[in-house]
Amino acid sequence: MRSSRRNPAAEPAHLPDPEGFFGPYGGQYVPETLMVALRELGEAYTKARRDPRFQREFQYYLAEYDGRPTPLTFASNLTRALKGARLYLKREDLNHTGAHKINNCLGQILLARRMGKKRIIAETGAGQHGVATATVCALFGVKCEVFMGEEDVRRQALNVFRMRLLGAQVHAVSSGTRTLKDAMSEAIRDWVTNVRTTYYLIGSTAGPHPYPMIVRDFQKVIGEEARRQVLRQAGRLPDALVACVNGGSNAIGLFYPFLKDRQVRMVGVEAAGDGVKTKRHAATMAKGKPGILHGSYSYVLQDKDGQIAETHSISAGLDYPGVGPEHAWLRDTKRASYVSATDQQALEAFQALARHEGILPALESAHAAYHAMKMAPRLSKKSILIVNLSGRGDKDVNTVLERLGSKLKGGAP
Amino acid sequence: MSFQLQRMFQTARLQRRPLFLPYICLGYPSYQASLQAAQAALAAGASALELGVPFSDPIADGPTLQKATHYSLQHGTKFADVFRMIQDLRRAGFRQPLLVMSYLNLVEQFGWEDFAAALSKTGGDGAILPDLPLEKFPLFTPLMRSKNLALIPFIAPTSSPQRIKMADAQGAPFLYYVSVTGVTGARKTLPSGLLRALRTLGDRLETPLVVGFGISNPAQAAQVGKVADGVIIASALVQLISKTPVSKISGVVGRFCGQVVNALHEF
Ligand SMILES: Cc1ncc(COP(=O)(O)O)c(C=O)c1O
Repeated sequence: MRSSRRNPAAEPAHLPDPEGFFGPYGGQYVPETLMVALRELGEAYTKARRDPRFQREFQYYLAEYDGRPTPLTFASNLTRALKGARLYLKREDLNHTGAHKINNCLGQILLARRMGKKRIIAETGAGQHGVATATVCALFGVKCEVFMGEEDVRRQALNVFRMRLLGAQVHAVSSGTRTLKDAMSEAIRDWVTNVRTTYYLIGSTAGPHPYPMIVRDFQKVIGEEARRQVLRQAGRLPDALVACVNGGSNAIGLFYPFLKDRQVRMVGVEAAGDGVKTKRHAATMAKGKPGILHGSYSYVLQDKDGQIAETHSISAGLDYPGVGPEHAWLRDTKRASYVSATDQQALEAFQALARHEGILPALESAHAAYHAMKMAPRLSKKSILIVNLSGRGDKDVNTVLERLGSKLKGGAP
Repeated sequence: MSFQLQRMFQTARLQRRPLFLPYICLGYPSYQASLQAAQAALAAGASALELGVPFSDPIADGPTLQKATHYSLQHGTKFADVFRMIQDLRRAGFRQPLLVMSYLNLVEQFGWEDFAAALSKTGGDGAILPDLPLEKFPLFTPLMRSKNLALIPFIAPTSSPQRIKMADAQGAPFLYYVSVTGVTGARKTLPSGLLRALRTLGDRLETPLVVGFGISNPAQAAQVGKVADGVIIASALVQLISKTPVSKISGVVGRFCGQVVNALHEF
């Protein structure tokens, strides 16, 4: 896309520009029907952001409902075993509902209420964002409908039931590849149809402006806390931050408050599935090209024609074929780097965290943990790594059982 | 050939004859069948054609077009096939304007320069891209116009007066008015208030107005034709094709389009 306005001097922390661009990335490539709704949302958010009452309310729910701040845990056993950098875990797994997703949902439901919207829709892949959305809708007594690919409904039956328990209606989406991207397309179609009454609560830093900005702002509490905590516990800033990246919300949440700390490296870890040299992966940054998906210009996994590619990951929460526009910009400007970890490697890290630290991480987070475990031995013992443990692994125990039930070594039979 | 579109709409206004622009899904149910459908529509008096190129994630489309475009993609339709289709239609002697309807990413990946060049070389007339926002038109209209190609702006029931003005100021041969707040799909009845909305809108606009989304049959087309410069029928026609054996597609599409053309000319 030829960029309308490029400002290389712009501080990354001040982006997006008023039209929703991070360099050339982002924007609002949506049907005309939605343009007014996006403007309304942008205006409502700008007002809310400046309103101390809104911020107080958000902070209240983060603390008293979600349980923030989440701890920054020093992984002493793993650190000892790896003989390198000191590993800290930002414990987003300890959020209510078990993942970072709820931070964003609390912020957006408060915004939706301010806007007088009575019906909430959301897309979900693994079901984590769906559960978090259903949760805040139950809390505030608003109608909730969640779109989920048929394939994911099958893979994540437990989360579907959770959403129903919470009073949400789950729509199985049978179009396209029947996964997260199709759920998101269907949610956009619903929004196009019911735009006057409905609030679309997007779960990651994807979609048209202002969503990538809003979601980042509601997730940046992760990095703000981590920055304070590491300064208090270790007396200095970390050498690197490591987070898994799908749409990129947990990663940007951790990275953003450190953007100006130039000495802090940032590493995003995508899902390499069977390996980036195979066709079965979801490594958008490694293998994608810039393109337009769901209203945003960013890296996209696609074929030569521009048809969106099918993806694979052991993590249902990492198989989106796009990535948030801010990450694309951080990559191009080299402020952050992006790597990937395979299914197998994520399983390795999953077990390592379980055995050494007594923590079952979400398989998504295990991708980040794997990369940090790879980095640690190459760094000095004074170095500090913070891994975003974006969610808990209970939802994945079945998947892990399927993959290594019979191969599991040690422990009682 | 964008001038031709402009002239066509001028004449239509003078003669008070609304235009009919049917949509044909490229490669549905096969390239040949879609070519035959396109030829039948043009032979039956369609004023112009919208040639839909399937995209894997059509966010503005309802179930009918989703299924057809998905099927077409599964059976190997490529973006460049649309140029072959335009060429085939020109070789068969059809003169009516041909517009490519698709999603932005496909044009983006093909490259705008190459797209405009190929379109102009094969005899196409322009493009309709529902996810290209008005704000971005200035980036691409100069290129398109330099090759006498049109880029068609959308307006929707939710468009603000400002945006309507902005669409009107693009100098396009027509504006695509989305008749419903929603996605494409045949509907039993026209949205309530549509005709009134169109009348007010028509008075405010310089640019001719073509109405699409949800118009399903000749009678509805005729109603809309009274207050608009043209009508588009997509899902209803695709539905018809989906129910018709391949050998009969030509006849069925020709008959349907003929009925719509007659209905539009009758009042
Ligand atoms: C626990 C967990 N971590 C990470 C992700 C990836 O999303 P994002 O890249 O937006 O953080 C998900 C998505 O479902 C998730 O459930």
